[in-house]
Amino acid sequence: MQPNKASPFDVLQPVAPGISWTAPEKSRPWQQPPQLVNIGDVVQRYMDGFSDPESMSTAIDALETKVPLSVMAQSIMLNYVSEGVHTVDMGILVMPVIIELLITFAELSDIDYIVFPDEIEKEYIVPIGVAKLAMKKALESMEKTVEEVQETKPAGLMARKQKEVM
Amino acid sequence: MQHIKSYMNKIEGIIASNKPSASKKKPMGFAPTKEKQTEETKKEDMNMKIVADTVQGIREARKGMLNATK
Repeated sequence: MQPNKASPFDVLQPVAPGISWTAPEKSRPWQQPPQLVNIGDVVQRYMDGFSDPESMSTAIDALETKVPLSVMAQSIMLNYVSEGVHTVDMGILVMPVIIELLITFAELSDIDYIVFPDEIEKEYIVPIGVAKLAMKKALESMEKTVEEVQETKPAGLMARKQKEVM
Repeated sequence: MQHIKSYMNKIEGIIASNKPSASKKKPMGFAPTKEKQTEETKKEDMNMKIVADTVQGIREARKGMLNATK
């Protein structure tokens, strides 16, 4: 069994569509039987991968971008799948372990983190009551300004006289 | 991402049931008993238990490290 030399963060390499037709059948790592089939071994592989100092610093850099941890964990897991280390099913099973490791890195380095993407939306959603109040205040201030503009009469010498409506 | 969220909740449930203070409920109604579980279900449960134990271990280690740094 060969050790996985690539960093788990080498994930953002685009793959052209139809790439599977450009190589002989079963020549790609993900088309081969997986290297690890036991969940304990897979967990151990991730632990080893993350305990590497270089991977740790890369992980901390990635955490500072505030990408949700589940998204990061998924891309790391899919990287291992593409290298033929384990299957997708096994990867999904170990996802909590990867997320927990990332949480540990974040908390030890005092970095704010978000686990799931929907938590970002929750952070930026304004309650309906607050939004209504803000709209009401904005409309009131707008009406006031319009009234003030209408009340001010032109006072210059060249100003046209306004007809008084009886 | 929803499937991962529900899976995480399942893992949380296993961790909570592993704690000694949690009271164990007896299966009621149509809940499968341990004898009726298939081989596949048993394997799945075993895998999830391993993951839950690992997560719990990581949490405890993190707690210890955070306490040590304070």
